[in-house]
Amino acid sequence: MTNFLQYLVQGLAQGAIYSLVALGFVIIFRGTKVLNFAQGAFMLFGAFLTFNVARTWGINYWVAIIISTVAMAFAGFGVEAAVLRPLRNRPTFTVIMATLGLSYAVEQLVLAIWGTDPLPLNDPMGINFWKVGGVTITYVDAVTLAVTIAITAGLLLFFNRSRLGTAMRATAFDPEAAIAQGINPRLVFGLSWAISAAIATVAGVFLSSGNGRNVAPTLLQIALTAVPAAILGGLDSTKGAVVGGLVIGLAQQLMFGYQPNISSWLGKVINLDIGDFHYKAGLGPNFHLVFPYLIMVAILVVRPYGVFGTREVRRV
Amino acid sequence: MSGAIITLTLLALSGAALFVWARHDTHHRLATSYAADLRTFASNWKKLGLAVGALIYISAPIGFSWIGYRGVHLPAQMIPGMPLTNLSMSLLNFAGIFAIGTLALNLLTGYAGQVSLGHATFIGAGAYAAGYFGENVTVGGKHLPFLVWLAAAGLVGAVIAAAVGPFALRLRGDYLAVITVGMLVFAEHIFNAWADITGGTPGRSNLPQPTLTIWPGKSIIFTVPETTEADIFGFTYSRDQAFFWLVWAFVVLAAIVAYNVVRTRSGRAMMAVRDRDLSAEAIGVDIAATKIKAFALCGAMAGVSGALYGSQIQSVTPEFFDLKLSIQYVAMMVVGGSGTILGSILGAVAIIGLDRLTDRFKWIFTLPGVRNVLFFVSTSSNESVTTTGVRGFIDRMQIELPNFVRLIYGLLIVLSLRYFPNGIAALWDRIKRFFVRWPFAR
Repeated sequence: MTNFLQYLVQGLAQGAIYSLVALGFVIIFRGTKVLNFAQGAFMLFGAFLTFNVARTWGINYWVAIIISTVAMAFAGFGVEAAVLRPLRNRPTFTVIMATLGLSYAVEQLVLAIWGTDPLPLNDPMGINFWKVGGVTITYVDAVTLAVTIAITAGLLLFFNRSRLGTAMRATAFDPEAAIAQGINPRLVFGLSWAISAAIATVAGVFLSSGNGRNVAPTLLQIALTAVPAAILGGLDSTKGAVVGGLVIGLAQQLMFGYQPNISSWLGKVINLDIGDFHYKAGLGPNFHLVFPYLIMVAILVVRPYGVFGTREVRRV
Repeated sequence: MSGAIITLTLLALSGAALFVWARHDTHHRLATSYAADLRTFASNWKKLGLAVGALIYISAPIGFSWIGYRGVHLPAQMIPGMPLTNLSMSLLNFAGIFAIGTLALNLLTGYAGQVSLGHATFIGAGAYAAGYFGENVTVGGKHLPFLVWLAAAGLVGAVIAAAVGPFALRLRGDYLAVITVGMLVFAEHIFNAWADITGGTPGRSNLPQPTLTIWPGKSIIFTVPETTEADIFGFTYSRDQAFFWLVWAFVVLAAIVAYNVVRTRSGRAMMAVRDRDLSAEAIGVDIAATKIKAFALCGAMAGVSGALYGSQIQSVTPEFFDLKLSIQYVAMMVVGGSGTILGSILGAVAIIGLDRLTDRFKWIFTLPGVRNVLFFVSTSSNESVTTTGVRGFIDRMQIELPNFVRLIYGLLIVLSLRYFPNGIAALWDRIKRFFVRWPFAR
C-alpha cells in the first residue's frame, strides 16, 4: 500500500510535468492548428537558459526562472513570426517538418553552447522531503504540482475571463470571423506560441530540479512523451491535456513500479519455441518508457481524435 | 591558371551552343496528345542524359580521381585506373543507399500524402532482417544467397509498414505523424530488447555481405567480402568501388519502380488520395487499399535500403534508427523535392555531400575571429566560476561536427520549406522548362 501511494505521488508529479508540456502543445494547436514538435526544444533551451541565469550569472533561482520564462515567451513569439507565419495555410506535413527542423536546430544549438554534460541547477528545494505515513514527498514534487495547478488555473482564468483570452478563443474557433471583429491575428497567433514557450520553460526547469536531477539534453525525450499525453486528451482540449498528462504520468510510474510483479513477462526475456527455431522474446527492462505510446495507440484506435477532442468535420 | 581559363571558355561556348540548339528545337516538343505527354523519352535530351548517366555509373569508380582528395590513394592493388579515394566512394555509396530510402519515403509522403516520421523503423527492420536472414538462417548448412536475404529484408519492411497502414485509415495529418513517432519509439525499444537478432544496445556487427553468382558454385561475378577487396568478373576492385556499382544499380532499379508506379493507375490513385481523399473516394479510388499499398511499397524499399546500409557499414546499433534518422530522411526528401523521383536522389546526394562540405570547411568555425564574431565568445569573463559543470553562456563553444551538421539540417529544412517548397528538383524543372517551352516560360 505504501508502495502504491509512493508511486501515486511520483506519478502525479511526473504527470503534472507532462500536463504542462501537453498544455503547450494544445494551446498552439488550438490557436494556430500546428502540432509543434519544437515544444521539447523550447523546454530544453528554457532549462539551459535558466541554468545560465541562475548559475553562471549567479541570480536567485526563482528570479532566474521568471527571467528565462519571459525571455522564452519573447522567443516563442519571434519563432512564430519568423518561421511559422510564412508557412500558414501550407499542408500539414510542411508545417510539421518546419517545427521538426526547428527543434533539431535548437537542440544542436543548445548542445553547441552548453555541451552535452548534465549541468546541476543547485535549486533551493534540493533533496528536502516530507515523510507522510511512510510516503516520501519531495519538495520538488510538491512545488511542481502546486505550480502546475496555479498555471492551469491562471490559463483557465485568462482564456475565460480576460479580453485577450476571449479573442484567442474566438480566433481558434473561426479565424476569419475573429479578424472581421477587429482581432489582430498576428498578436493572437504569436501569443499562443509565447505562452507555450513560457510553460515549456517552467516544465523544463522543474524537470531538472531536485535530488539527482540535472539540466541535460535528455529533456527532449521527456517532451516527446508528453505528445501521447496531448493526443490522449485530444489535441484541441485544454482539459484533455491536463487529464492526459496525469494519466500518462501515473500509468508510466505504476508500470515502472509493478512491471516485475504483475506482468513479469513484460520485463523479462522469455523463451519461445516455434518449430525448429528457438527464440528468446520479451519487452525488455525499460518497458515503462514506451508504455505511454501504447496507451496512445490504444486510445487513438478507439477514439481517433482523443478522449476530449472535437471530431474533425469533413466537408464534401 | 590558363588551364582554368580555357576550361571556363569551353564551358561557356558549349553552353551557348546548347542554348542556341535548344531554342531552335523547341516547338517540336510541346505535347499535343496524352500519349505524347506520357512518353518515356520526351526528347533526345533524355536519351543523351541516360547515356551520360550510364557512362558516369560505369566509369566513376574507376576514373575521376581528380574529384576526390588527390593526396590519398588506395594502396597499390590491381585496380584498373585511378580510383576515387575510399572516403569519397563510400560517401557516394551512402548517398545511393539513402537515395533508395528517400525514394521510399517520397512514395509514401510525397505521392500518397501520408505523413510518416517512422521511416527509421523500416530502415532498421530491413538492416536487422538482412542480418538475420543472411547470417543466422542456414539452409542445408549454407547461408542464403544475396538476392534472397535482400528480398527477405524488403519483405519484412513491407509487412511492418503494412501493419502500420490501417492506422492511416482512421487518422490523418498530425495524428498520423504522432502515431508513426509512437511506432518508432516502440520499434527502437524492440531493437534494444530483442537481443538475439539485433544484438541489443551494443548493436549487431554480424551482417551479411553481398555476393552475386550466376549459378551456385560456378563463375562468381560479384562478391564483396569483409576484406577491403572485391571480385568482379575476375578483376579485383576495392570494396567501396564494388559497392558503388551495386548500390547505384539498386538506386536505378528503385527509381524505375517508383517512376512506373507513379505514372500508372496505382500512382495516380495515390496522388488523388493525397490531394483530396473525399474526391478520390467519390471517383472510385479504394482509399484503404491505396494507403496500405503505399505503406507496403515504402516499407519494402526502405527495407532494401536498410539491408544495403547494414552491409556497407557492417555494424548497426538501435540508437542509429531513431527520430533523428527519420528527420534526416525527411530533410532529404524536402530538400530534393517532395513528390519527385529525381528530387529524392538529388536530395540524398545533397545532404550526404553536405557532410563532406562541412567536414572540409569546419576549420572556419574554429578560427578565433569567426568564433568571436559569430558566437560572442568571451573566454575570460567566467573563469572564476570553476565549480564542476558550471559553464558560462557561450563560454565554451563546442562546435563538434555532428552538432554543426545537424544544426544545418534543421535550418536547411526550415529554409527550404520557406523558400524552395518544391526542392532542388523544381529548380531543375524550371531550367528545363525555360528551354523546352522557350517563348512561353521563364
